[in-house]
Amino acid sequence: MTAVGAAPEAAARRPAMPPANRASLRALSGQAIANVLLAIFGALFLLPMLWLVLASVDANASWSVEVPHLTAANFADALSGSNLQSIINSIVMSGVSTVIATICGALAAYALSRRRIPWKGPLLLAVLFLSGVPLAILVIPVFQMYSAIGWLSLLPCSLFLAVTSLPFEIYLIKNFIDAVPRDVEEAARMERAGTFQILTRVVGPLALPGIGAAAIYGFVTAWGSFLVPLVLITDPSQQPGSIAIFGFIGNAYVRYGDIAAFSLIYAVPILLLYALSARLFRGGFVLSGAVKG
Amino acid sequence: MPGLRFEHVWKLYGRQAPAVADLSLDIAEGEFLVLVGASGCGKTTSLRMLAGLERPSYGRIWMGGKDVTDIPPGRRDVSMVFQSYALYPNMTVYKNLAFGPRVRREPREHIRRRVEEVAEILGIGGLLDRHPGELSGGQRQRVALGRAMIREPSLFLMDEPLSNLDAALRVQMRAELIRLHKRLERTATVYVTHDQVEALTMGDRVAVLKDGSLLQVGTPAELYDAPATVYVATFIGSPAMNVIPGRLSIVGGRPRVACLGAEFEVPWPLRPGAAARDVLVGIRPDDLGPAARAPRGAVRIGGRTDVCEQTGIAIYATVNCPGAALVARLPRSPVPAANQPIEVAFDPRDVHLFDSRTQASIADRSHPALAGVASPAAAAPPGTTK
Ligand SMILES: Nc1ncnc2c1ncn2[C@@H]1O[C@H](COP(=O)(O)OP(=O)(O)OP(=O)(O)O)[C@@H](O)[C@H]1O
Ligand SMILES: [Mg+2]
Repeated sequence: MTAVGAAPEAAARRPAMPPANRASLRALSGQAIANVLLAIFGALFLLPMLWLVLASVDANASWSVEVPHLTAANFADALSGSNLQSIINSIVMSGVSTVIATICGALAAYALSRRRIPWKGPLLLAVLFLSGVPLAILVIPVFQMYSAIGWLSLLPCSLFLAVTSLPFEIYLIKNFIDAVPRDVEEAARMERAGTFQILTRVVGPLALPGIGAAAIYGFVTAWGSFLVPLVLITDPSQQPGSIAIFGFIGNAYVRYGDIAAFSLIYAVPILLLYALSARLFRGGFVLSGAVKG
Repeated sequence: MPGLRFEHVWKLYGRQAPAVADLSLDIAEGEFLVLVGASGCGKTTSLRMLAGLERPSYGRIWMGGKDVTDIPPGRRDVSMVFQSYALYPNMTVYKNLAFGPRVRREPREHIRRRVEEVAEILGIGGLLDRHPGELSGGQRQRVALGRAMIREPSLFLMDEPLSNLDAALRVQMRAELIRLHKRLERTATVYVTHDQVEALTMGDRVAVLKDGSLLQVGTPAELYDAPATVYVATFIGSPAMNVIPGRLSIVGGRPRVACLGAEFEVPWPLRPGAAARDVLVGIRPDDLGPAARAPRGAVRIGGRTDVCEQTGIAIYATVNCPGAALVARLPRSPVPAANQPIEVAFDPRDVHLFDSRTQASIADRSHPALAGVASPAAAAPPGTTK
C-alpha cells in the first residue's frame, strides 16, 4: 500500500535531487587506455590460436598467418599411424593416472578430514608443500628406480603422474569434505550405514564438485605432461601426444600444417573437459538444507 | 535389567568445565524421559553418548543389560533426531526417509509403504520429491523426525525435535509422538527440550540438568510440587516461581518463617535437624492470589500493582511489595490499574523452603504428611540426585 503511494511522490520530488553522479572525464580516459591495452594483449594471445586454426587447413602452411589453401590432408596426416597411437596413449596415460589419483586422493582426504590422526597439522602442511616440488627433481631418481625394475613404459608412467598430482588433489578434496557437516555423516552411521556406504552415498555425492575439480586437475596435468613421459617411457610407440608434437619439429623439415592439425586434435579432450566441468559446477555445492541455520 | 543406565558418566572436552558431570540415571524400558535444562547444560552431549557418537570420558553406559560403552552407533538399535536436522542435502525427502531402510536392505515395497505412512503422519506427503534445500525450517525438522520414525528401534533419541514448528503444529506433533511412543511399547524415548511446558506434558519422568549435572529427576508432578533445589523450582513452571529471602526460626519446637514483613508457621515437616537459618521462600504465582478470596490462615502481603500479563484465563500481575516484586495470579477481571495498592495472599501449605546457602529444599519429603508427593530420592536410583 505505502509502496504504491510512495512511487509518484518520489517522481514528483525528482527535480529537487542533486545532479546524477557521472564518471569524470579523467576516469573515463583512464578506462579507455586500459581497454585498449587489454585488447592488444588479448589479440597477442588470440593470434597463435588463429594461426593454429588457419594453418591446420592450409595445404602449404608456414609460420605466418595467411589465407589458407583449404585442405584436409593435415588432419589426415595428424591422425595417421603413430600419431593416432600417441593420442590413444595420451588418453590411456591421463585416464589411468586420473582414476588412481582421484580415488586415492578422495580416500586420503576423507581420512584426513574426519579421522583423528596424530600430527595432522604438520602432515597436511607437508602434503601441501609436496605438491610444489618440481618434477625435474623427482624424475631422474624415479627413472633409475623404474629402469632397475623394468618399469619404463606407459602404465608405470601413469602411476608416477598420479602420485605427482596426488598431494594437490588431496588438499582440494579435503576442503570440500570439511564442508560436509559431520552430523549428516553421523545420521547415516546411526542408520547402520557402513563406511563404504557413507562414502559412496553421502560424503561422495556431497563432495562431488571437489572430487570433479580434482579429477579435472589431474587429467589436465597428465595430459600436458612432457618431461615425465619423455624420461619414463622408452618405447616410442607408447609415447603420448605431447611428445609426438615435439617429433613434428625434429623432422627434416617442419610441417607446420601437420603440427597445427595435430595440436587442435590434441586440444579436443581439454575442451570437452571444459564443457563437462561447466555442467558439473552448475549443479553447485548442494549443502543447503543439511543442517539448521 | 532391561532399559538404559548412565553409570557415573562424565564427558570432558579439553580443559573446560565438564559437559556432563557424574551423570547416573536409569531409564526403564518403554519409558518417555525428558531431559531439560538451559542452553549448554549437556543435553545433546548426553544424547550423543547414548547414541554412541560420543564416548564417555569416564563411566559406563548400559542398554538392555549390556555394557554398550564401546559399541559403535550402528549396532545399538537407536534412532535419533538431530538438533541440527542433519538431512542428506543431495537426496529428495523420499530418499532421505528411505535411506536407512535401503541401507538395511528392507524390501522395496515395504519401504515405499512405510515412507508414505510416516509422511502422512507428519504432513509432508506433498514434499517427497523436493530436496531439503527447498524446504522451510519446520518442514526440514519434520523430515528429520520422519527419518527417525521410519524405524522401530529399541531407543528413540530426540534432540529438540519440535523447536522450529509453530504452536499449533507443535501441539499436534507432540500428540503424534506420544501416540508413536505408546504404540512401540518396548521402545524408550529420551527427549531433549528446553521448553519446560513440553517437558511436563510429554514426559513420564523429567530430568533437569544444569551445567552438566543432574539436579533432579522425577515425574512432572514431583518436579512441580517438590522441587529439590531453587534452580529446579524456578525452571519448572510458568510463570517462574517467586523466590524471596526469609528467615527460619524454631519457636517452641515449631518452625516459623519470617519474610516480606509477614510471619507464618510452616505447616509441613522439615528435614530432621533443621535449625534456624536464612532461607529462600518459594511461592508459585498460581498459589498467590487476591487477599479478598483467601481462606482463613492465609498469609497476606500488601503491595502496589505493576505490569500485568493477560493469559486469557487469568492475569499474572507483578506486585511490588516492600523488599521484593512478586508475580501473583489475579482473576481476569477486573483488570487492575497500574500502581494501585493491592493485598495478595498465599496458603503456607503451598510454600517451598530452600536453604539459602545450599539452595536445596529443606522439606522432609519422606514424612507421611507429604505422602501425596513422592520423594524424588525414592523414585530415582541411588546417587542420582545431587
Ligand atoms: N565437540 C565439543 N567440543 C568442545 N566442547 C563441546 C563440544 N560439544 C559440546 N561442548 C560443550 O559442552 C557443553 C554442553 O554442550 P551440549 O551441546 O550438550 O549442550 P546442550 O544442552 O545441548 O545445549 P543446547 O540447548 O544449546 O543445544 C557446552 O558447554 C559446550 O560448549
Ligand atoms: Mg543441544
